[in-house]
Amino acid sequence: MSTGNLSDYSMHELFRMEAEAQGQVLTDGLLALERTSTSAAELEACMRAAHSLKGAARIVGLVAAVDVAHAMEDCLVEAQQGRLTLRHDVIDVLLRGVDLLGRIAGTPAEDAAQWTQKVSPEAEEFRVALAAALAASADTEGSAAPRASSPADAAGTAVDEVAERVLRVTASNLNRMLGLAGESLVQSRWLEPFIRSLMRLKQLQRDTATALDRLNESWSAHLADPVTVEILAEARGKIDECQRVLADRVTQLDIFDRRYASVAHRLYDEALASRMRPFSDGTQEFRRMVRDLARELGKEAHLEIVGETAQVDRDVLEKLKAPLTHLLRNAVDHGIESPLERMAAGKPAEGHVRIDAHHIAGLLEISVSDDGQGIAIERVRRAIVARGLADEQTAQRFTDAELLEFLFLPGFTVKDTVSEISGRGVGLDAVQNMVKKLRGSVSLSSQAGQGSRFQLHLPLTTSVVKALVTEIGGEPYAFPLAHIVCTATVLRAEVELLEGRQHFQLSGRQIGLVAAQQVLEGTESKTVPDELSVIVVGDRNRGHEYGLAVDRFRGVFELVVQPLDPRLGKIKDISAGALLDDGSPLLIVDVDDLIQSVERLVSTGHLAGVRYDEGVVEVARKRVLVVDDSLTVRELQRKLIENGGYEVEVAVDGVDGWNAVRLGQFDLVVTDIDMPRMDGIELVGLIKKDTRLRDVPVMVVSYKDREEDRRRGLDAGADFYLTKSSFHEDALLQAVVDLIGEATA
Amino acid sequence: MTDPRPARSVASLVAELLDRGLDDAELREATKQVAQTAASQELLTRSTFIFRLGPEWLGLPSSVVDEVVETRAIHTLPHRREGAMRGLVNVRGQLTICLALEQLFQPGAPVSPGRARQSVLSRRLVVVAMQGHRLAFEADEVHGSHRFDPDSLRSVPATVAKSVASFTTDLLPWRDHTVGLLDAELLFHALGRRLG
Repeated sequence: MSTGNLSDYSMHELFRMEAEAQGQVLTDGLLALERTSTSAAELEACMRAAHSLKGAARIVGLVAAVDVAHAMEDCLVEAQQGRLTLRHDVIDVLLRGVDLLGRIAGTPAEDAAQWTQKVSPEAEEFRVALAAALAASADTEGSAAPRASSPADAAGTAVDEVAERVLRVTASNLNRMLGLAGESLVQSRWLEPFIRSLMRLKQLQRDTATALDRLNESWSAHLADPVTVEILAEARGKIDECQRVLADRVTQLDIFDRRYASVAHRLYDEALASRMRPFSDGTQEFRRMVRDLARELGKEAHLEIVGETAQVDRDVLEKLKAPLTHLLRNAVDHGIESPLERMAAGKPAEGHVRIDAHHIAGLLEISVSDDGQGIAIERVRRAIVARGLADEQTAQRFTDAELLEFLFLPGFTVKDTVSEISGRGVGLDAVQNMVKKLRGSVSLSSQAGQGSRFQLHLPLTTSVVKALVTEIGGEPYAFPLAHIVCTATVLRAEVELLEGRQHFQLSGRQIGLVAAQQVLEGTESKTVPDELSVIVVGDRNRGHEYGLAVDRFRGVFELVVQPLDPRLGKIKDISAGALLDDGSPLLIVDVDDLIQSVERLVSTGHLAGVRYDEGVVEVARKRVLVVDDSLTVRELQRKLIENGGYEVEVAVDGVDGWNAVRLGQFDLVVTDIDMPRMDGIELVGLIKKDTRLRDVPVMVVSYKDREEDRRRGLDAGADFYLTKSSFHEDALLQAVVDLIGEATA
Repeated sequence: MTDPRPARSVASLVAELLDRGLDDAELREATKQVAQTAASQELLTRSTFIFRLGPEWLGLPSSVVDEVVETRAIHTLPHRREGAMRGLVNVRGQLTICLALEQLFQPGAPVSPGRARQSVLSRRLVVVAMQGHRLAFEADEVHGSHRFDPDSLRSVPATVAKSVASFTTDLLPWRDHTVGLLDAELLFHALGRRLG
């Protein structure tokens, strides 16, 4: 019952989301069924998913999806009733069916016509393939007696998880919430010092009371008149009351402060925690991937995932997908042997790959292990020698762990042939880089014949970082602890001059000293204290260790990382921002970047100084604005005109150009005609109408070379019309020179 | 109206009261009021946010002003200390880019320390937002939103300093001052170009 009209986009969208969810149920179920083909619970879940999809597809009129889901449902019902067993081949076809459904659902509504026809070739193909697989399966049915479905199976999976409802929240929404929660935390800290300041008031009242007491004593000695005594007593009473009221108010304020601070803290912790997702959110595709890959390679492999409930920051989870995928592919391709080899080695034919995730000591530990052949350590040794990374003798002295480290080097591989799956030698170093970016580490262990195991240690979240907060040039900067070698307090007397550079000794090592302020700001602080606070960063083994002198240390804080506004681009030496307890901003130092800056400063510092002294005389050059919506044309024109010595700025369309021309004080505007938002004719018109800009010459450069186009451009006020077809270097530059003269006149 | 429930009868009494016709005097009074407000309000169709930078009073469309907060610590950005960039400032827990608007109007003009001393109390941080992007700048004084009659606008004379003038669309007389109304889109464009 095709509606023929799929303009109802939201229905289609709903179907896509449903197909995504049910597809995951089917995939999970089918993979489980592949191992225990008669598990009643899995069969039931799959059947229901297929059934739901069939119904949903019918509503949106995707006939092809109805057909596919229907065929799958039939097959699953048969299996439920014990009339057939789901073998590998059948599961293969069924999984392909899931993919097909996903593809159908993923087709945008306006292109979905192919799926709404009565007969869809692809759906038909699927039905035929499924029938063939079932027939083949039936032929060999006798050889393996189907196991009776056991109730234990059903119970085992049913209690598995009561999934919590999940809401989709945009990252920016979450960040704003986190920001506000942070703000409320900062605000809550204001109250305590305020309460303490009331103590001063308390003290003043006490002093007043004492003064009154003293007055009372001296008066009573002189037999004062009763009126005075009465007034005094009244004043004394009022002061007492003041003290009582104040004490009461302070107590109440104190209680409020505690309540408020506690709420603010919880709110903040919750806001932070809402970034966390269960590990299983990031592992959904893995089971299927391992299975498909193994089948492709003629192997058998099963993936076990342990610790699916471990909480992981959603950013970390997202960035873990690629390295984990890589490690899994490696395990199946290099680790797991063919079924024959495995049987010969006395192992089960089916290989076992395992991902294990858990929290340990405030870190997320993930291990990826397989029970395959392990890594042939001698081949690694030979490869090291063959690639000239070490000589034979040295290579012999390496321990196994040291040898395995080489596998993380870029371009290093022990495979002689490059396979489709992995072994291009771009693997493990990429994994290591990705893990390092997350401020984590990866290590590898292996036992010949027993398998290998990768271990990843990652921070639970990238949104909180432990860092040493320092002051540089009077402003707070934080260094993540993971990137600090050590800190030291160095006496000025201990700083030595070596080849014109400052050094100091630290546990027997010579460490170059650089003022952090000089790196970050290019200025040196005027006063040098007797004691320098120094942070040592860098890699000791590679001789890149530097001491950075900062104003002072403030202490170690847990900072909530705030990415900087993307409009700023990458700021050299800085990775992110954060807020201190009092709400003041600070910057988190990108230590790797900083080390490079230091190295550049050390190696070229002298040169730069000389160049600086020469003092380049700023020559005023004429400015040209190039407006064109094509990047290629824009950059070509920029290059050509810059070759003539002019200063060139670019704008991407008429509106951009109009904004730029009003700001930039240009000597010439070069513009295209056909552009989005505002075309060149309109731009020329605006410029020529503006009292301040009308004297700026405008050159039109266009593909349109008919006479009427020329006329139109010149009528709008253009001073020159150049066609792109006759466009070559000299013509453009010559036209520019003709209009405004040489670049530096 | 024979409903026995008292609540209902009160309600119907109220309805009756509200539905009753106006007598002539009331009608005259109401007509006069309506006629008056229409005459004076019809003109105040535009609104601008008025603030002061140094000696100049300027106006931005009220719709782009997100919030106004007291001034606070600004952290400079290394390697980005030139031009209009002042650094990052905490607005409601989020690090927000802070710019020196006066640098845009008078490139190279120093952020005079004397000025800061003269009006610390009246200084405010103005947060503006356009197309979802937020930016902050410090104003020496903030008046707030002001509704005005577009007919009272005057055009910008060609003699005004070119740098400020290029951002000013109109001049608005306000109290003893003349407020330069800024072209918000052009301003954001110019600021955006100075960020990267």
